[in-house]
Amino acid sequence: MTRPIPATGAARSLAVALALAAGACVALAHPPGPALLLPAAAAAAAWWAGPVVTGRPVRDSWLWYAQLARHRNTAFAAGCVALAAAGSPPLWLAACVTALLLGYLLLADAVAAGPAGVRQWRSRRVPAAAYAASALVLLAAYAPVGGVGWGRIVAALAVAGSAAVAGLALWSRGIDSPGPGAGEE
Amino acid sequence: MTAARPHRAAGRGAARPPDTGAAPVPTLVLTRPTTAPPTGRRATERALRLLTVAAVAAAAALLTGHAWLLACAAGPVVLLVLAAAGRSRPTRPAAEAEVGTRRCFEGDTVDVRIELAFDGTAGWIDPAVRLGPGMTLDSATVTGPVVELRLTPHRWGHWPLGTVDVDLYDLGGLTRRTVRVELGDAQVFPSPARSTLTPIPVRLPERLGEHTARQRGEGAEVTGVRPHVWGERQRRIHWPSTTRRGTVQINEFAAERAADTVVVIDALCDFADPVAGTSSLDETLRAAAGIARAYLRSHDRVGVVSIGGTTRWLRPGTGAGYFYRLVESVLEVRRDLGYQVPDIDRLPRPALPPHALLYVLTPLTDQRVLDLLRELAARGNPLVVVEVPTGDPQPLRPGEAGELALRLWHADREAMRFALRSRGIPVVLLEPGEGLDLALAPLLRNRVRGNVR
Repeated sequence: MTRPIPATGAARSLAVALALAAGACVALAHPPGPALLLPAAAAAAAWWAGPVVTGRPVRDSWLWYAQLARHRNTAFAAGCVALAAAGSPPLWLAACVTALLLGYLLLADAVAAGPAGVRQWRSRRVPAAAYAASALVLLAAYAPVGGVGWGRIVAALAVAGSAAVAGLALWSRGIDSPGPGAGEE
Repeated sequence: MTAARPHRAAGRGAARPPDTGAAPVPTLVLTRPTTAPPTGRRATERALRLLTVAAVAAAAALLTGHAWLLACAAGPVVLLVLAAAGRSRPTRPAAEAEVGTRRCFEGDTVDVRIELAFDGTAGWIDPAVRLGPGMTLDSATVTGPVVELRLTPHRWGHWPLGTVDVDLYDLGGLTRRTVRVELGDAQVFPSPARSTLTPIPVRLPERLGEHTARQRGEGAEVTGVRPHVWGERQRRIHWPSTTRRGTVQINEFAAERAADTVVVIDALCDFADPVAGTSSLDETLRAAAGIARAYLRSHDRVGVVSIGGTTRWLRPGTGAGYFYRLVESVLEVRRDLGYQVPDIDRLPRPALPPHALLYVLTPLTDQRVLDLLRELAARGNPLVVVEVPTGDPQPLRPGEAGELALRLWHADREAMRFALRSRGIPVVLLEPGEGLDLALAPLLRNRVRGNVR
């Protein structure tokens, strides 16, 4: 039995959570004040931009707001990254931002990218590989290497992790088969 | 107060969402013509989204010095790597469309089959349909490299069926190619209004037919008896009269003749009903088709003349196939809407035979039509005006002034009808939603008379 793909509500919830997490990165880094409004503003933007755009990618207008509306999912995800970059979050918050961002991208692909996105959503290896790579980089980024002799160990682990991700990628490429709707001549 | 507004060849692009039978095929229905799509391979929305997020995260990490932001880039990069090609992409795409029928009636379905040919493998075939005016898309299915569409035309005319842009995605959904298919044109005939009645004029031409004439002839209807003349058939002897009068009496029969009918279409303007939104020209041609079909079924001769812009005409003819010639001759009339004053004298004589019954289908909204009716009546042809409804104008602001204006408008139109009837021209009103028979039934009480006898 195939799992149904979450609809608009799930995408909006995920987007709001991501926006709140990204806004919290800034709010924690600055003294209490106007920065506290950032998560609320980000959540409001996420309410509009969060649901996945499923329309056909056709440029109907050259006006900037039409373009923004068409690419609002991309702009929202990139904006969350830029917002989170303005702060110095602790590890748990950075992990939240990374996990929510990757989840949102996977969901957007599943809803709007056709059979390839659906296949990716239903596969276990592809999301696992992406999450593993992100976790590896995140741990490497927060590893206490300053003034300690752990640098070589962390570098060796990062290289090994990258090789494992690449191997997993090649392995899953061999396993995946063309999905429905494939046309061959 | 807003009058029923005239409009020109406005195609209704309203389209129902397609019923995508197989897999995820979010076929889009567009009505605006757009420029041709790029022919080469280009990145999909998915690829752009993942690349953008990865690039922004990497740039932010470099600018701010926060290494953890690279974790936000790592996930999208892995997704891109896993989905990246290495597998086959669709190349050299081509498409060929096969349309089931290019001549149909309103409400019929038109099946379109598009066969795609390409090298390599496509992960997703996504068609987008830009429909022609008055078309709706009932269903769109994609089965392998074949796209099947079912269209329904809702307005008569000579319309383009539409254009289909088919996107071919690679297996990873990172690149796509687009191939455009033009579906060509279709002739959509008006669905004839339901009609069975065929009122006839006083004088019928000397052609055998189904209508009982006032002249004596060889028909089936007995009109009287008279003394027998040597050589006449004995089967016609009327025995009751013969025994009563003592001399041989025979039956007299009425002649049976065919009528000549010409349908005159007022294409000087096209009015949209302010409430229902229906087009007066659409209704005019449907009623004209109904009248023509009813007379052709009675084996009469039917011709057509359209007035407005280019004057089009077809001399009266008979036969089932002639119906299609009649309709086809006026199918382009919607493009003719103009301000040219029609000159009825320029019409060749065969277009308006003497004593032919003329049906003028008009919304009676243009002064030029009244001049035309006067000219036609002066020719002596029996004439019937079929008034096509345009709907009441809607007052801008409800109030006493609007109501008075509406009453004045109604009175003006009633005066126009009275003026025509006083000249001996019958005016019948085609009510919306009612059949032609109901409108034409009063004409059966008497035969339609012309000015010349």
